Amino acid sequence: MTATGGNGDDLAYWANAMKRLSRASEATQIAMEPSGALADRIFAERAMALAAPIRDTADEARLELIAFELGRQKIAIENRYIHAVIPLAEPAAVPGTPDLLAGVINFRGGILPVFRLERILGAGEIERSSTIVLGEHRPEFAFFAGAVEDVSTVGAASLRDVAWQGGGDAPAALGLTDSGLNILDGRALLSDPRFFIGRQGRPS
Amino acid sequence: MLGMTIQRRLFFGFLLGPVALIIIGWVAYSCIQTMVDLRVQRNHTFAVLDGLTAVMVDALNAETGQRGYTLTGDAAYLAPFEAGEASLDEDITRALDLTADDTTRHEDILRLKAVLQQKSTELRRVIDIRKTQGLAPALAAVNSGQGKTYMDTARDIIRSIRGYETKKLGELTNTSNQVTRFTFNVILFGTIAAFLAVSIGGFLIARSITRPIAGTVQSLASTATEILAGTSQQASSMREQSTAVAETVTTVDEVLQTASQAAERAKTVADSAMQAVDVGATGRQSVMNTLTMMEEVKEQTASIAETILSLSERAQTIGEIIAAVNEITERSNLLALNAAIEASRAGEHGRGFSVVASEIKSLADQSKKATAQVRQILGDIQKSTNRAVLVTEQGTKSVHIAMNAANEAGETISSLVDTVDAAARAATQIAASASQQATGMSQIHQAMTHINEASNQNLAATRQSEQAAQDLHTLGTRLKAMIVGG
Repeated sequence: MTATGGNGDDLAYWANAMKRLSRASEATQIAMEPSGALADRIFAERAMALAAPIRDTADEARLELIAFELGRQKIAIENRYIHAVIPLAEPAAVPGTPDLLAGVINFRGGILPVFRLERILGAGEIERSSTIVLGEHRPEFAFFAGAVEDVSTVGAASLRDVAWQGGGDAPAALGLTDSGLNILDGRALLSDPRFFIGRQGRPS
Repeated sequence: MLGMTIQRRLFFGFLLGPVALIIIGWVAYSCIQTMVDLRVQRNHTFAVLDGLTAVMVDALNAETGQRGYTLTGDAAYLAPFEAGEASLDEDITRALDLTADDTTRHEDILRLKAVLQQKSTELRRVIDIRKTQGLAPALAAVNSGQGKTYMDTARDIIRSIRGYETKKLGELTNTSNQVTRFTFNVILFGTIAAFLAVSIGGFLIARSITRPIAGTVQSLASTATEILAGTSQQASSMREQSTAVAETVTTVDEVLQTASQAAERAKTVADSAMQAVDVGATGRQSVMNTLTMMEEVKEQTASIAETILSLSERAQTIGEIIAAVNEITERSNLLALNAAIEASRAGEHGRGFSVVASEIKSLADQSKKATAQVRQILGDIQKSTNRAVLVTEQGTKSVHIAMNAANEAGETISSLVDTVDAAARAATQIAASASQQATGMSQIHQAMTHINEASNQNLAATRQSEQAAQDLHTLGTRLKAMIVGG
């Protein structure tokens, strides 16, 4: 509040305040109900985006990946090995199981084990925001992950065949993209015996 | 002596000499008178003796002339006889007169006179015989011895008287000598004794006078010195007092002027105070108006705070809506992601659905970003609202403080009005008092002028006293020198 310099200053201050309030109201009104020209422009941009031709990549071997954050690492898995991405669920602990198993959750009427993938990959503590369900034809198990990005595609030829760059004891890696994204081998992950719990609670 | 005054002491001191002189004079006078009497008596005795001698000489002359005539017959020899006969009576009478005071000697003289008359008769008879009868009868008459008998008797009487007178003369002489020696002694020793008595008495009197006088003079000199010092100091003090009084007169003049100015200014102050009372009343009314307006401001501020709180609550509702939208967005995102997964799983048949899913995810992401921005804006709005609430609360407090200050100002102005009113009355009284003070100062000025004159007169008198003390001091010193020397 600076309107303390006198009657003239008060009038100027409140006139300016009224102008600012009027502008804010107008902007809000415009945002809430865009005018015809603005709506036409938005619709035109959206139509142009939808009308963009789909690039034909059939002759090129491509991988559809879903990237997600796991602690400090950013990891991708082929889309075909990810059964679903569900909101973060609180698992029920299972006594007598190894520490790798966080518990079990109810997934679409069935019991699904949830593992701490970060323990294997050496990612440390992670910020849990989603649960990724792995399985090529049916849900096999799930693990906690951070933010999950959209489905993206990369050319198989563009992958650099390098060893797993993260820490821990990863099952297998498909390679490294140009943007530095580690791609886990979904098949190897699904067949990793550490993710199978036997009758005595040991990996079978 | 000690109980007597100096005057009596001096009187008796001076009286001592004359008394001694009177005593000595009286004794000497008595002695001289005695000596004069003795001298008279001696002269009388000498006169008696001379008278007897003259009588004897007359008798002898008469006898001598009778004998010469008898022998010679010459009448010339009768001259002594005639002379003797002629002076004999006179001498006898004179002798009788001289012995009138002495009966014995007077009677002896009378007997002598009778004898000598008989002798004279005898002589005359012989002479007559010589004249008439001649020498022989005359000689025979002489030889009869009658004449000789008379003569011898006369000689015996004269011898007796002369012896008595001579003895008396000797006694008178001795007495005269004794009186003379006594007189001499009286004069000599009396003078010496009187001198000694007068000297000793004078010494004692002088000492009995000078000692206390010397002490008194000493005290007088000391007192005179002290008086001189006191009068000098007093004169100095009087000079200072005179100076101070003169300065005071000047100061009183200035104070008089100041008092006059103060009276005028007090009147001006009184007028100003009355105006201040009016201004104070106006100010008190203004404060009351201010309080009313401040009350309105307080209510409006409370209304603003209420409005802002409502806005904050509405913003909280918006936040809840945003959270719901965000949840929906998250779920839309997941649904889009799962749709994309399913589309990918569907292969070529799911390609179109994959595009739709991707678009839905894009919209969900945009919605998420928008909700994030809205949440941030809402957070800013919440902060601004909180700040506005705090500022409004502070404003309310400020208004409350301002109202208290205005109340205090009102009370202060009321008190000030009362004070100024009292000050106005006091200023009026001060103006009156200042006027009286000016009058009083004028009187003080006159009084101080009189005091100044009196002080000058006192200074002059003190100077005279100082001079008198100086003279007294000098006089004391001189008197001390006169009495004790030095």
